Amino acid sequence: MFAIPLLDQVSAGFMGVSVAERALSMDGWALTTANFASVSMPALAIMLLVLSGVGLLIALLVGGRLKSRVYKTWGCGLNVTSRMEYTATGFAQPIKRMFSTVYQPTVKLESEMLEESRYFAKRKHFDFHITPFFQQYLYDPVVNLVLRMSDRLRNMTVVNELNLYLGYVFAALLVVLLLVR
Amino acid sequence: MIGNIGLLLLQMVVMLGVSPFVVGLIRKVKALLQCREGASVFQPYADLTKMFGKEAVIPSTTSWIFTITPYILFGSTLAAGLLVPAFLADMPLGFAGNIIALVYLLALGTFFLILAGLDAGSAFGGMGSSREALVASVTEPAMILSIFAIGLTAGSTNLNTIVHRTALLQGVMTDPAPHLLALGALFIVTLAETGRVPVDNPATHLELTMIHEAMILDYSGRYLALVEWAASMKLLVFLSLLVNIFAPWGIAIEATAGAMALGLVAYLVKVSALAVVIGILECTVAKLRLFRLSELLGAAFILALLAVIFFYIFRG
Repeated sequence: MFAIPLLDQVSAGFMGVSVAERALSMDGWALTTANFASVSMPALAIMLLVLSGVGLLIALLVGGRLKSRVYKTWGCGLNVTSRMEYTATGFAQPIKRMFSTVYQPTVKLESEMLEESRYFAKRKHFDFHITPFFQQYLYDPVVNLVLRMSDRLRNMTVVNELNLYLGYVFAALLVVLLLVR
Repeated sequence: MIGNIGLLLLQMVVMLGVSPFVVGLIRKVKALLQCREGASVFQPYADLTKMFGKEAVIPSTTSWIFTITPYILFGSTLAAGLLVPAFLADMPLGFAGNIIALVYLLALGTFFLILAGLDAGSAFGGMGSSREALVASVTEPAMILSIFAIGLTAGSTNLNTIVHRTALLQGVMTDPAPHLLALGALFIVTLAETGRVPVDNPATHLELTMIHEAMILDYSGRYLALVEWAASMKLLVFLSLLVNIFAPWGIAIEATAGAMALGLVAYLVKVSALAVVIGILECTVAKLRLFRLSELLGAAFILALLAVIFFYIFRG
């Protein structure tokens, strides 16, 4: 309702056609594409607010008053401590396990046992990490390529290859001129 | 305008009123198949009323997210319920959101429920949240792809248009294969999203198998009532999607009193029949291990993918 007309000023400058008139309907309340899709964020926001209120209203009507009591978290008879909380590692564990073919997790558990008994550990070291698949094989190669090329160009201007650099600039200009014509 | 508001109120009453019945019906079918008499199909209404009247216990370790989540969950699920055509093909709020908006309204509720499960700080809630996040993230590709298949066949992602065209058999009967494949995919997605048996067991309180019940473990009183009501409404929203996208016969095309009364009766019959099917399925199928879920939902994803491919093949 507010963002589309603003964006439209930008896109209309490029294309010469206003997109907003076709995309917006119902006085700018809904975003529509020719009977294929329609969505209205303001209407959805109002619905969420009103209907959450309906929940509160029903609770008041059916239950009478809203009484509540603060008590400790249920923990099978034990006191809940912060050590029982789910950590990020624990939270993501099922996903890591299900997509283990992609992420190739490495789990390493090193234990140093006491000399007296091998049932008691003196020190334990747990190591868990995954292969950042998309970063390693998709983003990093592209980023590295661009970085290497820009490094090369910078070296040309800094070190005594200024002539070569100017030659490249000249060639690029030629290409651009030929293309534009 | 007043007619539209009346329609919305009627839809709201249907969504709120029918959803506990569906849950009760599934429980009754399961009980009968297990040679038990079982509680009345209207037992969930009594449960809700009782829970609303009880004092709510709030764990001392929680933040405002815990108390606000039931209302957000209830609101977003009810909003989704107002978008899906139940007894009338053209819902007045059809412009507000298409089927994709509906899916993400439900996802908003799930997201807050996951946060609330973590909020209490007990290992139980965290475990439920972690598993729910897994199920939600594996279900989503299958769900979105089957929705695309439906949208392609019907030529629209607007629920009103989809139901309208299917009811008048426009564009569907010439090549029903994509539609039927998408139905299979969406049915599996329904079971996974609403926590029914092959994925989650709504009747259990064993920590090894719980997903949804573990997440809402710390809720009580009116909060629990709202969460349970929202869960049953989510089930009803998915059932309505299934029956009205794939078998919209009987639904009212025009908003006249007679057609709508007929539409309401047809809707109740269709939803009840599907609930009975789910009840029978729950009795005959064992719950899957959590890490074998990817196979079931992978199958749903492949079905939906086939639906999309078939659409392009048949169209030439």
